[in-house]
Amino acid sequence: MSVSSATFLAGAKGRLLPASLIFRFFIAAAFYHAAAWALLALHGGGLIGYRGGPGPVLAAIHLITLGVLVMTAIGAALQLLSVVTKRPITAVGLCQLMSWLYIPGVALLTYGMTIGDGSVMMIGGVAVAAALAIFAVLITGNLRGATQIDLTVAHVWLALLALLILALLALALIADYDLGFFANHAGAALAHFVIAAFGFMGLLALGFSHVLVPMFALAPAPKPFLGYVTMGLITAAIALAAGGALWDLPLLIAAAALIGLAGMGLHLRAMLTVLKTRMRQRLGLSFLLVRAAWALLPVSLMLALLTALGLVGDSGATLAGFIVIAGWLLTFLLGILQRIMPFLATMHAGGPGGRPVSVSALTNEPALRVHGICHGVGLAAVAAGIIVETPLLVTLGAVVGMAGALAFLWFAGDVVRRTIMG
Amino acid sequence: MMTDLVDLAREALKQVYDPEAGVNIVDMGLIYDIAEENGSVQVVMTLTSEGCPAASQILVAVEEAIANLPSSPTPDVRITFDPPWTPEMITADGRALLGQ
Repeated sequence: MSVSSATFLAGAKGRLLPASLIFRFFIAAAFYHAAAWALLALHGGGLIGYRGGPGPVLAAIHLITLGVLVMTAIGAALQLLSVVTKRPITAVGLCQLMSWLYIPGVALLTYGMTIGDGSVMMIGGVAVAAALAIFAVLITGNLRGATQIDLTVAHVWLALLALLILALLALALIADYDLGFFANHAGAALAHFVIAAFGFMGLLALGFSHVLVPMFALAPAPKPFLGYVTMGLITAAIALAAGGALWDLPLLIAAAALIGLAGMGLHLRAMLTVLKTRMRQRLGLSFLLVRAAWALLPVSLMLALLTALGLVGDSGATLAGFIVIAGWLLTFLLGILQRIMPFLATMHAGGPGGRPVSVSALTNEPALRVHGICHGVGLAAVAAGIIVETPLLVTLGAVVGMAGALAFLWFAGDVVRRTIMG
Repeated sequence: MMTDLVDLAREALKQVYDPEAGVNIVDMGLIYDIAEENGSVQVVMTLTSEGCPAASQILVAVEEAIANLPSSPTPDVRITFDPPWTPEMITADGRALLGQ
């Protein structure tokens, strides 16, 4: 059965959100990315042996998680979910409101964390939580109308559940700084970390990988069955790890790490199969980052396992956290973002005769090369600094990382400039 | 004449690119059929996914490419997802462009 292009386009109307809306999230993410490295460069010594609590390190972590990872996830999900569910997100006004709450909210929250002011943190935290509530409403509305529950949609549902739990836990943690009602604040913070990193961001990364990796590599999508098994294992691992953190049961965390390793192993096997069967041979720098992120994912889980078993010292936990956030999630996201930013921009850029503009025409390759090198060197230096407990190495790594982040900002700004100029 | 117009249309569609893949839509395997009838050129095509966000850009470009042919035929572009597109539909030329 076929339909006329006019009929098809009428159905597709509104599928494309305004460029200014989507790109404000991406540009803000690029700014916060540079700010996170800058803060770490100024307070590098604080990362060594960091075990939680307000201060510049907590702010730097949240500049990465909320400022870069979630910020990008919001922008990408608003636009890409319509590809999966075939339903556009049409509430542009709510999307605008979300951006006005979220982007300054992250700045306020992380400023409050830097200076250790619970009131400022709470104001920023409430703004962020309100924005995320709008995001959840928008995404839930879109998912509820999906004609079929496929693997990616199932991942997004679970990620939304994780978002609800982690946001409530985050607000409780902020309030606890003044009220002190948690018997085990550090455990609650660790549970919050696990649910945020693996539950919300991790499940989104896994779910969208089943769409984006085959799309970028021009390869058949992996069989969904193993994807559901992976999702089940990861969900069980998150629940166990969060429980282990809350009730201070290291063996439960160790069991979670093992189950997580099994689940992530299945996921990585599926992704490598996709790459083996791809039509596009030259995947470029973006997939170098994606592959590095995939390699670091099991490393972080192994470190978590060894830490839970008491086989490594405090630096093991810090290193595991750093590798999860910066090594796996940030590296993966930057690899994907450097593909989807120009891809989404092509839909707003008018080429000669209104024809689609190619992704490569909107991509500043030198900026990405600088970013890729600096990102890798920065990660390695900071990780080495944590291992040998040398603040200077962390600081130097953060400076190099910041140089890379500025190069990425140059790339992101250039995508916008080239899109506007056509 | 009929074949000529169909051939011309096919060549014109080779100037329309899938923005993500960077390969023209003919070699991407998105064009299922081209036919000419009574001054109109009918193109039956697909997209890489039903929710393709680049759909409107590609379809507008296809209609313009047909309308700009020498005899100014009326474009009749029809979309189908049966069969759905798979990467195996990429032509040998398309695969060469992708580095295979």
